[in-house]
Amino acid sequence: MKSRRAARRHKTLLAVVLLTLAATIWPGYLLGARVEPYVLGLPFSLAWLSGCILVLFAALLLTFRADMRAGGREGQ
Amino acid sequence: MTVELIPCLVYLGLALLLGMLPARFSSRSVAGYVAGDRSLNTVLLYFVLGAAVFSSFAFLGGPGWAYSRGAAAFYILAYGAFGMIPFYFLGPRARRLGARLGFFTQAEIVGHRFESRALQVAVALLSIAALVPYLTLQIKGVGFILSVASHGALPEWEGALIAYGIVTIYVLYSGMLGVSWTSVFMGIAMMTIGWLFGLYLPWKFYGGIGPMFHAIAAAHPEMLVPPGLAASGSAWDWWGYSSAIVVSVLGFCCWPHFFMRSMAAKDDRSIKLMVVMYPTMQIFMVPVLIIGFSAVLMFPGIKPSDTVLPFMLQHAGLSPWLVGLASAGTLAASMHTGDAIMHAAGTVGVRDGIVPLLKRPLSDVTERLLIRILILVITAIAFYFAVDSQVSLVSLLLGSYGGVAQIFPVLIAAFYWPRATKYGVAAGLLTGIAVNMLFLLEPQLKPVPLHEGIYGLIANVIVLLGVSLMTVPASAERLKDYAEAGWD
Repeated sequence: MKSRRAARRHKTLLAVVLLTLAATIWPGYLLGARVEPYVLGLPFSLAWLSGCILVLFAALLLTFRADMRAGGREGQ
Repeated sequence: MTVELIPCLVYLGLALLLGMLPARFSSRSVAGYVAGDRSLNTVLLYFVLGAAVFSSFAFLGGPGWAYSRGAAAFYILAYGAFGMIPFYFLGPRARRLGARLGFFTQAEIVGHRFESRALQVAVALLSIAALVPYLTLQIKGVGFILSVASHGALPEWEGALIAYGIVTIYVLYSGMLGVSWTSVFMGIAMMTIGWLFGLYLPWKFYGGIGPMFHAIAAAHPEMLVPPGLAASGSAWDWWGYSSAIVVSVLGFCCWPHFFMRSMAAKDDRSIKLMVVMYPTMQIFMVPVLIIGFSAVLMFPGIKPSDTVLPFMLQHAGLSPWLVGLASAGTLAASMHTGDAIMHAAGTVGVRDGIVPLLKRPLSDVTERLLIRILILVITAIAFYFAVDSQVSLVSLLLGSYGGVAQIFPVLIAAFYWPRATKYGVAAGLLTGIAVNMLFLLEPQLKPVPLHEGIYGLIANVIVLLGVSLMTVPASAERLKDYAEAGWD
């Protein structure tokens, strides 16, 4: 069985995943659905999406590290 | 022989070599052939599962979408980034169960959890029905690109035969390890070539990526604002864009050639780390889309839009070596996905389609032989469709995406809901597929223009819940195996 801490960690991950997903579809993406300002040469819409992917990557990485630190099957 | 063919031939030779070598490192058992003796580490898993992102569709369809539909193509980035996340939780559970009970496919798990061979066979049939058009598209892509690289000297069927002849040889010979070793090589080749062209083409035509997007924004600002354009060229709606992402995210890890790789993983850590790294694959997709954007102002009117990359290779005045390199990258994209599909389809067909119907278990040698024979048969069928049939594959493939997504509630129920019953799951799956097909064939019946897979999923879940609650749950003994993996 999963510990309470692992359960809380995974719920936080789920929340971040749902938030970033909401930011890439309607209506969340309306905030990023424009051309300007350009970021590193990319239109804002593409930079926004790339940013969401990076946030997702960071959330996954932090969860994974915490899971591995918790060790064994507890974090699964 | 043209100069353009040289990088392609070098690439094909290396692929054959790397595909044949690993046979030395796997056992001569079904586990060795199908799952590489359950030994795959994070790097191998990352590239094997990356096949989803970098397929023929990515290298030809991705730029095609960006070229013709602008920001609509961003949906490819979004679903790939999110699609693997359920696997963080499902993958390790499936792996542990597979290792303990000797499973290699998702249908084996479904059949076991719900004590139903019919359900196992149904999931297998759905899998193969979805995989064959997918494989066919990969073969078509290869034939097309080799024909371009040879200036038409190689007819499409001959190019496809050469490339897929090589793929067939190493898949039959080395199995899972052949698929995974070549995946690493092909993955690195594609990413390098994708970045090279994604940076080079905007620089050549516009002086850089920034100036390119400024020029597009001045001429066609609607192309850079999501949800972009529909296939007809008019504005796409948010319903379609958002629901296409959601369906693809849910269906992503249900594709049999992905899900079954959990059973090939070395340990839980490898699977989880692969899921963590997976969104980085999407960052590698950005330059592939940029290739398509670079053609918007330079080469208007290319039809069909999927041919935008080959068109540029022919008409952009590039060095023949560069054209050859891009062609090799496209070959890698197709073969990378094609070999994984062939291997998965053969395995699923035998283990879930043939074995459950037999009265006695097969020997290891016979089962391996049958899997190899089935791989040959399935590849031959896909090859026939690729070179000789007029069946509309794109519509078949679109239908299969919504269909595969219907497996998602089944997998969640198997691992997370002890009360789910075989009747509930079977009725939900059939209803989901039927509703998906109905709205695919009769889109005018949709109340709002959501992806048909969403309607299928809603019906699927309602029926699954309702029928499960009205029928007798699986035996406590059976549920014990799943409880040990944790119901939470």
